[in-house]
Amino acid sequence: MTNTILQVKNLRKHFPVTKSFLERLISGETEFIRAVDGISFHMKKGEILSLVGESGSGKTTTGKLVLRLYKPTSGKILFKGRDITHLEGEELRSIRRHMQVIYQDPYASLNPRMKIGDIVKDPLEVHGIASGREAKEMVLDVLEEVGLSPSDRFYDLYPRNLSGGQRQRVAIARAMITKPEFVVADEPVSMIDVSLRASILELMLKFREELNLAYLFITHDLAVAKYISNRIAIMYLGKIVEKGPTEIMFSKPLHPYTRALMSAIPVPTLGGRRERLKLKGEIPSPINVPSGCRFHTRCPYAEDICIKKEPELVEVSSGHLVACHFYSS
Amino acid sequence: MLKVENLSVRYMQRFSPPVLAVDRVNFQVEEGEMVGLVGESGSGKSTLGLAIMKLVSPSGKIVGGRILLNGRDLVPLSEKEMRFVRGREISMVFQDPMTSLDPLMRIGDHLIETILTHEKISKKEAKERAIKLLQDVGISPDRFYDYPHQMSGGMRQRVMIALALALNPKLVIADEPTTALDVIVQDQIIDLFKNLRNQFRVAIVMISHDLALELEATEKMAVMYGGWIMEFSRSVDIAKDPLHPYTKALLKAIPNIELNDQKLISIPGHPPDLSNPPKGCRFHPRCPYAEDLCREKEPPVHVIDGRYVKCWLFGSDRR
Repeated sequence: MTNTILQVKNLRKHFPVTKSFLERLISGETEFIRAVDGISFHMKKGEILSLVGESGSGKTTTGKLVLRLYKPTSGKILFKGRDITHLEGEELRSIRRHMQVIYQDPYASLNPRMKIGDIVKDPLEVHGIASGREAKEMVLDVLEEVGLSPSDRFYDLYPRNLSGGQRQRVAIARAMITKPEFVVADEPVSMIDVSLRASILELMLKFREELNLAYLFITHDLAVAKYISNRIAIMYLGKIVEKGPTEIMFSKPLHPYTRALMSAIPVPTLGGRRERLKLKGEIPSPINVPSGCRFHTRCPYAEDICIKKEPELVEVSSGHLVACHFYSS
Repeated sequence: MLKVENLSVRYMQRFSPPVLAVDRVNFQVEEGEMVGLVGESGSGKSTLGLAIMKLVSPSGKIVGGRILLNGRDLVPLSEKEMRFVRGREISMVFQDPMTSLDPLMRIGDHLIETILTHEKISKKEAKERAIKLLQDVGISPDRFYDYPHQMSGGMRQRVMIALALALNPKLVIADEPTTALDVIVQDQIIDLFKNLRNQFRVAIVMISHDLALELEATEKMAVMYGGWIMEFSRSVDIAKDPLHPYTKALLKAIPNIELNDQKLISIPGHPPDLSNPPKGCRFHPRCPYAEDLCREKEPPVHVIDGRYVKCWLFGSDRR
């Protein structure tokens, strides 16, 4: 197991729904948003795992949980074999040096009052890796690496002087400067212009080669997931409904939800639309999760058992798992 | 039915020179047609959509060209006259239905108010029309008294579409109508547009940054870059055989799930700064085929088998 960087076991995060005093008097019970509702997965060193799902599927919450930006409600998170589920304070900080994050919105994730150089230098000082002249040298190096060249010019600029693509490069530089082994990338290219997305993805792949780092790549875009990842896990209402190696997920998608998602992706080169597996309605509220298989309310194939019994995630071929009664035997 | 001729829109800026966001563009939309305007941020696609509704002021101004709607030019019309055009002849659907609906108003009342503002009919008749409109966009009439926050994103977008259709316009301009939605809901909204088009012969201009979506959903499309329309033709032609180097490059830059082992190639450089656009062709600094001519002179629009392309590579004079 020395090759495993991250193990997540039966992880849950339930957020209490805030209610007014009057509402509490009337209904009494506290309701919970079951954002992440019992998921397990592992990641190997240098691997890219995509978590794909619609808004409300729990993918972003999962990312924040494994970084321990949220406290899990239950379950376990093992980082390099060490249980970090309940770490606090200094111990948590020492682990965080090895895990970094890249967010979706490069306009919101960079402090507008800080110079680019200081933004990228910050993690070095927080983790006591370097300071002063040495830190500056490291910042200049990493700015060059992310293509912000000449780096000494970018060092003194502010985020407002940069385009969206360049800001995302700054965010990547900040994440990479501590040489992490594990990075959560939450929709890192969704807000980048299409003509520049590929270059950001390439940059992320370059760092994977250099640092042998693993990415948990969170996205709603299956086409991007196909391009970048080794494995894909599809999330629906806080659960993983199917996961497997990328080629198999695309050549042999099994879960009706996966198939619907895949068939809804526009293909640019066909000059028409493909055959769709159409779903009714939209993702239900994670407060009132449907009984049995939580997808049954939208599934075109749902039968009695799907309403009554929750399907387990079972392995159908090597590394390919699906949670659907039609594939459980 | 809609013919845009040499239309230009200029924005004044406080601290920098004026920007010609849309620069002498030409395209047309036939009755019942779904036409895409695709481009990256800053390409002018949204400005063009707003300009057709004459909604670019106060910071922007139409500085040239004509907008012919069934033969009548909208450019010289006064604001008062435009009020009779908006809603009745052309209407608009915006990206974010949460911010375009009044959160304190029931969706049924929204529709009734829109109808009664423009038409002299009784409240009862307006309510019947409103219920019918909700059904047309796939919302059950028992949601009539819902507030926007009680609905999902997809439902709210359906309400926006119902509002846009309330006065039976012949043209709907939809600016990124599915960008805030998930793929499955996006697909449902595109289906809805297609049904409405077939049912009511309403033409739809869909503005989007998503080239793959536009290629699948529309019949014709205009690819915009730096305020210019670079290519305008049937979408199937662009999907199978893009002409303009920019369109070609974009298709290589976006992931395509039908391809295995695809190598994405991003377009080098950045979109142009329109307050100081490059000389010659605006795409030349990023174009792999750029020659001296492209750096010096603006390319003309060439027509090849009914397809329009603004690029020096295609003139018979240069072959």
